Amino acid sequence: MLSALVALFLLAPSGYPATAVPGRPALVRPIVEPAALCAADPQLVVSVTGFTPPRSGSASLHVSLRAPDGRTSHLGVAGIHPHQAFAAASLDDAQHFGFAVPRAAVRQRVVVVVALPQPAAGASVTIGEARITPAPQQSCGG
Amino acid sequence: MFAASVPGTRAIAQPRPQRREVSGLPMNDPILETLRDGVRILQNRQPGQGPTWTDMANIHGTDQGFNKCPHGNWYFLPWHRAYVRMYEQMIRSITSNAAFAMPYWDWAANRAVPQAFSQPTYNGAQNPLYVADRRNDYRVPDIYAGPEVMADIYGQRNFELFATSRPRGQTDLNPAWIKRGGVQGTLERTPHNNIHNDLKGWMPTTRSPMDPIFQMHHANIDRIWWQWNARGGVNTSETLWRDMPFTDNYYNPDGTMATYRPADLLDVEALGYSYGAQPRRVGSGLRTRADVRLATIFRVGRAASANVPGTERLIFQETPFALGIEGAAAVRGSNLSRALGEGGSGAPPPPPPLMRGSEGPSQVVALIHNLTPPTDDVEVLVFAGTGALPEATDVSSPNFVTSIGFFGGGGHNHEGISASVDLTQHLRTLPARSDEVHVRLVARPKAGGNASVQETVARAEVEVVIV
Repeated sequence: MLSALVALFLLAPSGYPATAVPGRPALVRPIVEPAALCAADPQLVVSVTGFTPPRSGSASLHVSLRAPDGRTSHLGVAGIHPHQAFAAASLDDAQHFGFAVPRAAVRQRVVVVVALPQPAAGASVTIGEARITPAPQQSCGG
Repeated sequence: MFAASVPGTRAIAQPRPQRREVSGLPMNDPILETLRDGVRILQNRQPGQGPTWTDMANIHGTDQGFNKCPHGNWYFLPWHRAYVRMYEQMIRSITSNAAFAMPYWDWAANRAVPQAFSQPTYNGAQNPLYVADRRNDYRVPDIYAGPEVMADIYGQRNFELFATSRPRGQTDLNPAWIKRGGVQGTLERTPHNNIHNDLKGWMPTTRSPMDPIFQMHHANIDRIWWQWNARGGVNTSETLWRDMPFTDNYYNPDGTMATYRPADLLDVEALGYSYGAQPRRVGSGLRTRADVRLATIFRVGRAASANVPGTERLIFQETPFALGIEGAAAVRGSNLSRALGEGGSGAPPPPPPLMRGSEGPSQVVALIHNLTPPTDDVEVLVFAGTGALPEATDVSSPNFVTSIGFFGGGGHNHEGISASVDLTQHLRTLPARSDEVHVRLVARPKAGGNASVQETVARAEVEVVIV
């Protein structure tokens, strides 16, 4: 029972910042900009404010969306380059990664899942924010 | 282009050295010889002898972090275009090989680290392209450069999604923006970043250009940008992007510093290199007539059977010789000139296919049928030109077009194996000699092999079509 509760807790989205380590993804509820609700090409921007590389090898971020019904769709992979530890003082200093998201997903209460696949012992990534925005230079209808 | 700046001098467009895929180059290819020589010279340079290998890498980054180079914003592509060109120009200068063009590693097509970089020695000497702590057995996985990833990259129509976006909040041309972050698109965040990181050694670090494979990686990124443009992708026209100066960011070959803006870096031919024939335009739903005609021929199998209106099929007279076959076909009227440009071969290529519109340029294509390799240890070299071909049957010949390799070919079926070779760009780069297209196929064992090869082309047939 206790383990089931722990698992539920781990699968629930957390607030910002959220940290992922191998075997324990970060789950966050994205901020949805109003203009994204009617944008032709909404995108998810994941802002990474901290990173520690694995003790050996390299680690990449696997980003997916989890719909309210539990289905998960893979959005893409991002690498932190240079592959070295960093900590951003603010979102302005973060590394930002964009992923196209289906328009239907914008109106759902989706959860962003950022995972560091194993093996990547010692690695961690801190998500400062996940935000769904219109594509650059787009607004409603554009 | 450069002649045009001299008053009274008529511009004469010269063919630009073509960047070629490094995995397809034989180890003794003159381009690789020049690259090894150039890297060796720069690595051995002492202070005072001109920019050293380390000096050039320090422009990108030092142990303290990135120096001049932008990552994670929309200056990433143009800045690195000029940076790779700096190495290309430097190597041309110090090796006195004006025909040198930086190769590229097309990791979407060839996943393994190129052999020219993974071998510690070459001809008994230390290989300057080899880095011991690089993962030389690395293979790029699908999640970084597989078909889905590449389709995502090429399918993007928004420049800032393709090429990474502007720095957040940018309002002016203050160079401080060059170091501020935008939103990384698929090209930068996925194949660019992860291949850097996975290769280890220097490559995951800010000093990554210390590893010569950096240039192969970034030349491929540059080629993808060029391809994206050629397929109809449009760069942003915003002055915040076009006019940002990269002041004194690059060495000239004489050691002085150079400044470029993205607006100076949009035309690779004007920068002194090319990537060969323009790729076919895709994604807009519109296709050139040449595309449609070729597709029809490929469906039927042979141009002779397809009988596609508007296509000229040249009657090819073949002659066997010791290592292969050779043939020639005469072109009627001015169709060859139209396909190659008004001046025939040697003339500047026509402008790239338009994003909108359906005419597009003509193409000259060799359709090679009935190759029957006895094993996979055979390759067929394709040479072409206008007028009789010189005797050379080596890949260093200017008439060399490409090499056809085989996988599972040893068990070929009775109809043999077919291949198509687009000759258009190749013929454009050669001097015009006649209205005859000559094609030669030479079968030879692959390096180190001793397969009997003549059977490979004994029954081969060639159709040359202008579509």
